[in-house]
Amino acid sequence: MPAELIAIGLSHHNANVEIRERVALSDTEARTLLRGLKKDVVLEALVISTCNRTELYALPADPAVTAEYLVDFLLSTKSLPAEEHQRIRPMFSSVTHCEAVTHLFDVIAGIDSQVIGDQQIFAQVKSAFTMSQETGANGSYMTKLAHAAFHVAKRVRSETTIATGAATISYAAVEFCRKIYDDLRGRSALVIGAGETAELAARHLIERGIGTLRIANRNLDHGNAMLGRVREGIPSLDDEVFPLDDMTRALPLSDIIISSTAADGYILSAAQVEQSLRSRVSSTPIVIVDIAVPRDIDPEVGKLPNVFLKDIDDLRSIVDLNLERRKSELPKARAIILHELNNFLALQSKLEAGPTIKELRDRFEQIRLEELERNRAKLSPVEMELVNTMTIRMMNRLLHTPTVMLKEPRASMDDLLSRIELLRELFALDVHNSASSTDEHSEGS
Amino acid sequence: MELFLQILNTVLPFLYAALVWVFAELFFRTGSAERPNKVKRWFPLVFATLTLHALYIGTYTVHVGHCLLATIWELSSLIAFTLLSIYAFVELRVTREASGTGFLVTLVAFIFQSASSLFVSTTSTLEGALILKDPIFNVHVTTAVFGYAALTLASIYGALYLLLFRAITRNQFGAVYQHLPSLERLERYGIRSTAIGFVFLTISIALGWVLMQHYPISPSVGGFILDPKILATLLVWAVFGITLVVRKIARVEGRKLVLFWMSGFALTVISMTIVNALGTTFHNFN
Repeated sequence: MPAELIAIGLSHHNANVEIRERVALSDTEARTLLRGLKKDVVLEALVISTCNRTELYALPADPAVTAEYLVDFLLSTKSLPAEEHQRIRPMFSSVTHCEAVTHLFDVIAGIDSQVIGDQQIFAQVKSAFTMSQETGANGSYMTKLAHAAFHVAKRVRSETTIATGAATISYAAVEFCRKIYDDLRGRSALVIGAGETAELAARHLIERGIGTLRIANRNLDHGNAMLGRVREGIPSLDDEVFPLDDMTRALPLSDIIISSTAADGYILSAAQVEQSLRSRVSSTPIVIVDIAVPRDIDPEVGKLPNVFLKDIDDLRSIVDLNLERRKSELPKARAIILHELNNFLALQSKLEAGPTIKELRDRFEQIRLEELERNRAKLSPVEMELVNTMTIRMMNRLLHTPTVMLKEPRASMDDLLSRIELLRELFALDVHNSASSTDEHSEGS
Repeated sequence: MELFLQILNTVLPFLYAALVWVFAELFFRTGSAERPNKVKRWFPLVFATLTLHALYIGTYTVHVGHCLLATIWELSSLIAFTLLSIYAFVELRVTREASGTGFLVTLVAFIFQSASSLFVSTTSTLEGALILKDPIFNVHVTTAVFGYAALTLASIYGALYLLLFRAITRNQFGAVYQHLPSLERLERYGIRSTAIGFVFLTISIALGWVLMQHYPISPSVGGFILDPKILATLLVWAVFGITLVVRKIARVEGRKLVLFWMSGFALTVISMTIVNALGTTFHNFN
């Protein structure tokens, strides 16, 4: 019988960010863990470690390898002090077999993420499978599991709208710009501020292919550093960093303005924007998104013609609507996961049922031949032939139902191993096998 | 040939219905970001429908002896065909994208084609109407239908633009905001449709002038300049022409431009309603 998949992990559901940081594995640590596990603890393993979760999926090599053992093994990689080890240990949750597979499918489909429908997790799980392969911790089971998981993610993404619509303020800001301008490639944006939110917005703009990115910030060094980071050292020809006081110079050149500073008052007045509108060569509208609290842009700006102004509350209502919409897609996503889980289990059970069916038939055949042999002296050749035919028919009829039951797809996930296990126990297949293998071994030696 | 025509006549509404279903699915169940990719899968159905419809028009013309323009039911089929073909040209063939307007376009086309399929006759009843056999007349009417269909499409884009504009300014981020593409794209498609409509109308007007040399307008009408249908067409043609010129020269864009071409469409509807209400004595040829 194959080992049972165990999944242990710690995520945003049961641990705060401080704990998650302590447990998160670097690339090197994850590889060390996989190699260590593969040595003699597990048959196959997979490690997923992101800012929101650290999870280990393993097929134990020995029944003694339990979820608790795996938690200790994982924590030992981090070399945490004993008391911290003891503190963190109970925070880990564990699931086995079908639940473990379901959990992996939930994770890769983004329905277990902090933001439902998160797309990043797919790439992270994919890299985890690659790492498992590279470290030799991958086997036939994990390969099949990987294919099934990728298929789940693809189906959930294409058959539901769970991943559509912005789910963060900075992304909603950029998506809002894209409701005005279809293609950002030929557009220029001005990001005011160089804080975390401003940087995120700048990153989203670059992901969406913004043509020119200008940054206005009080501290030019911070602005330059941010530009370098978001452009990954390859700025566009017209990219520029302005001091905040000189920002008005960039206004007429900008189609999109996203502001996120910590300034106390308005840093952009209606008069300034009006002036810049007059200096603009293009007659296209200006999209201004104010994601600062307190606000950076005078609300009067929104009354100017050819200006679209939105603030953080407007964007929050977009995000809330999108999250609601994503939540409403959960039943569809779960149905896909359940369907794919049954497919995966059916495939597994078919693979596992094959040898069991053969062993069962061999066992029946062996008993039949033994009984025939025992009664050979009492029967005439004609009677022997008759009994032979009759017992073959009887055996086939008796084996028909269990064979069909083993081959058919599972009705539910709880069903997977129970049928095979029950059959093997009822007909003592494992006992008989180990006996014959011992015999063979004895004979061989 | 009659049987073949009847088969096509029966099949076409079903094909249009299938397109309505497909585009409704894409519009209501798919986010605008991933719609372009999904819509690609359905290109073959759009082009199969157009091919079969073109075959139907060709066969009909050969069989009956004139194009689909003698009766309102014949024209309905031509309108369905022109709407879908211009839509395919504006959105699908050129840009390989779909704004979600496909649902509205195919729905209108489906209604026109269904009405046509139900009531059209595949036997000619217009033996005496010589003008219907004239190829110039056939091209004149066909280009006029194409022109008006393109302008109708432009008005659909214009209406969607104004709808989205309103949703954005009023912070209504529901279905309209979620499903419609950007204002820029809607404006681009609207301008493209207007340009196509303008070109077709120009051709139609020019051919109409040529036709007048051979088939003078009934004297009762009062001559070329007083024919309301011609007057209305010239007015509509001028409004859409000015829209294109204003955009190019005065660099007017966005909502102002959309409002301008929408007023053109309103003018089309009003003038055509008045012309048709006044009866059929106008625009008759000797």
